[in-house]
Amino acid sequence: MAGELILIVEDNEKNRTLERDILQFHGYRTVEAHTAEEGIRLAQPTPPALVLMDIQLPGMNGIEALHRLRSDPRTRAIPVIAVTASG
Amino acid sequence: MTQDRRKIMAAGFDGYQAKPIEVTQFVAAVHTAVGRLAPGEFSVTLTRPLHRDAGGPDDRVMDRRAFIGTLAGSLLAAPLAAKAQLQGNVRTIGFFGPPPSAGGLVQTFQQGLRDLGYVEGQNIKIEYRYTDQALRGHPDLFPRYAAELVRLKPEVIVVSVTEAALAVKQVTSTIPIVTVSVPDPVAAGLVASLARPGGNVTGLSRESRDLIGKHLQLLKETLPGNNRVGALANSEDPLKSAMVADAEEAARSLGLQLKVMEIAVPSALEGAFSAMHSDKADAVLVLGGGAFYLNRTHIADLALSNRLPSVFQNREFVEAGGLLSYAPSTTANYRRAAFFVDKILKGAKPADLPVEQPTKFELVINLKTAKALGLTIPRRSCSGRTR
Repeated sequence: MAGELILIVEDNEKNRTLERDILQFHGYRTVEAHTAEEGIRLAQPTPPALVLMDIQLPGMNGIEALHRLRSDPRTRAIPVIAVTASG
Repeated sequence: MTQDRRKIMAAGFDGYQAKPIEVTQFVAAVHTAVGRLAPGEFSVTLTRPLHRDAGGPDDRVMDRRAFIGTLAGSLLAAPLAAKAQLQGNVRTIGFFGPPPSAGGLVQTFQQGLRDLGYVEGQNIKIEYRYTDQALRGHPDLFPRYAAELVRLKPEVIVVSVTEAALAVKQVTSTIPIVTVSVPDPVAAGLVASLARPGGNVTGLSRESRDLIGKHLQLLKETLPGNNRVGALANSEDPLKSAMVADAEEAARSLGLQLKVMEIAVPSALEGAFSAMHSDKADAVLVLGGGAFYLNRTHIADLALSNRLPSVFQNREFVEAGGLLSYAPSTTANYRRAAFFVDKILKGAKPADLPVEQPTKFELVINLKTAKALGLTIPRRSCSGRTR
């Protein structure tokens, strides 16, 4: 079954693995990035059906990354869900 | 922090998931974002009932180890069970419930059986009788089909609604009966108690009666200022009096005015909605499933055309265009029914198999309907992409 492609942008390995396991269990395909910059790069050639974006990332943060995705016509329409630690 | 959350949503994200991730909410948000859930519909699955909120450890967060454990357990168990079962003879069971056209429930039950190693046509034979005609105004079909099934001597009969369960119990006290969607098996006289059923009936309770108060509370919270609620009860439902009493008691404690109508379904539906409209009801509560369930599209249409917010006991009503439901998952019950069949085929006695109550409840809101009614759903009721 070829499920929708989901891009996970998350620097914490534990969280990344958990998200990947859950998504793959539900039949999604996943691609992973450790930084916002890498995430933007991965989203451009093959736009995923969804981006799961960590907010606190080393270097560029998730909010800035969202703006970058929205300003590029290739990635503008991709839905992006913020995944972040609640205080 | 809500401040952070607000900042994040203001930045233009399509949704927000807090860490640590709550698996069912996370999955629902993903399904919605990629369009696996119908647009406009949003579902939040809660792993414990809202009305048992006080204290206790937070069981909503599933950690990675627990998740992988569940996964590995289910993947490993299936082939072993399959192997064990295929060596036996063909077993015959009965199914007295909704037809395959009614939202995939039979198919879910069959899948549940397959997951336990029972493949129809190979090692299991299922005799079907359907409840739809009986629920659509031919109640005489309940005893008739029940008698037909019992004559076929299946090893266990799976029954959907209270009427079907009572009809089968009437004609056999020996063949085990597994209930799937009965709101209150004790009140219906099907079992002595949930923990020790005592006779030939066991299975799953929908616990819907406990939820009626919650339904009214949801209406009150979601639609402040709405005090006049019309309640519809099916005059043929064996549990109608009990449900009506529950609703009246809950309405009193919530300070709502409740007007109950016991009606024949479906013939009196339109009249009932007109009456609520001229009564200036603010919302409608539908008590029970069964015949209402089969007419859910019609009911949802009537509620919308009379501009009445509606609350139901099954999510399928909301998928058909109703406003709110808060209930255990019907699909989960049909899958779980296979577990009872398996236990019984392996020799367990229904008298000793406790009736299971749901542990997972879903609050489902149809945002398209909310919009059509001009309602804004409080943000805390939703999560994920809600536009």
